[in-house]
Amino acid sequence: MQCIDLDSHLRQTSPFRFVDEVSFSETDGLIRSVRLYMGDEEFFVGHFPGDPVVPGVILVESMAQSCRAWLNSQLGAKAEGFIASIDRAKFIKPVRPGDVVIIESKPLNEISELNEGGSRFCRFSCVSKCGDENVAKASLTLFQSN
Amino acid sequence: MSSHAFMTEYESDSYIDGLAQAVPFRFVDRVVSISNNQIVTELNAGGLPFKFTQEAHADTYVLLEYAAQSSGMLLRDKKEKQRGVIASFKKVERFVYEPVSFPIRLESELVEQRHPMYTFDFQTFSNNELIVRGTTSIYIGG
Repeated sequence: MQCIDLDSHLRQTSPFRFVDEVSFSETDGLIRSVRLYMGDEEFFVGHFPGDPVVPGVILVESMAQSCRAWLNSQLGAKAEGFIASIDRAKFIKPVRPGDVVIIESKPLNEISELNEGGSRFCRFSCVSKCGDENVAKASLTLFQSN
Repeated sequence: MSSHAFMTEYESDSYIDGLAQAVPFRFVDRVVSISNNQIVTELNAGGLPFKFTQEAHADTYVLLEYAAQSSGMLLRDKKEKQRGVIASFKKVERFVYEPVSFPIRLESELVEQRHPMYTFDFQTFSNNELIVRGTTSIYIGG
């Protein structure tokens, strides 16, 4: 299990960082990240007043940050980029303050494709879970800036 | 868009005030026009740090939330005091890989309705350039 140094490989910092830890297992080829939603995140004030729920788009962003941290670690970079496409993102159960979200992401491209400079896009399949329950799924593609 | 209605500022504010999302997670600044199944809105740069955009550029997730909140306004008369929540996004594509300038304009069309699920095709533009397009489904009752 390889722990990824987020300060070295992720440009987003608090309050825009939505992953606490990211690691990569060569054994199963999965990127795993952890995020505890404390309840003091600013977005809870507005989403929704008196009934805080983690916005679905924040769950997507946390998946993207998890994948971005791994991608940068593989390339020895701290590059920015964009979510280039989302084939499908599905939100299954609400995530609330106090919930710990585990994200499992599988890279679908060979990293050598990026190293060789042939492509600046990398596809991932991601699942977010609270305990044993899936709370969100997404298939997304990241664009890697220089 | 035969019943298309252009909004006064007052009418626009009344639609925005009807959103379940509140500041700092409210991403619509103006409703430009609305019909039974189409809406055009604007997102401006004012107060950006409070809108969770980073370094004054609109991250994709901001544009997705903007699309969902705008689309949800077409459901105002169908919600019956219930809340609309995002069920899914599909076929989302971003066409510009650099920071975009404001204001951003969004066009959304209701393309399928099977209560309580409603599906919209949306497109966002900056300076008339297509930034993101995709499909979102909103579930009423969340």
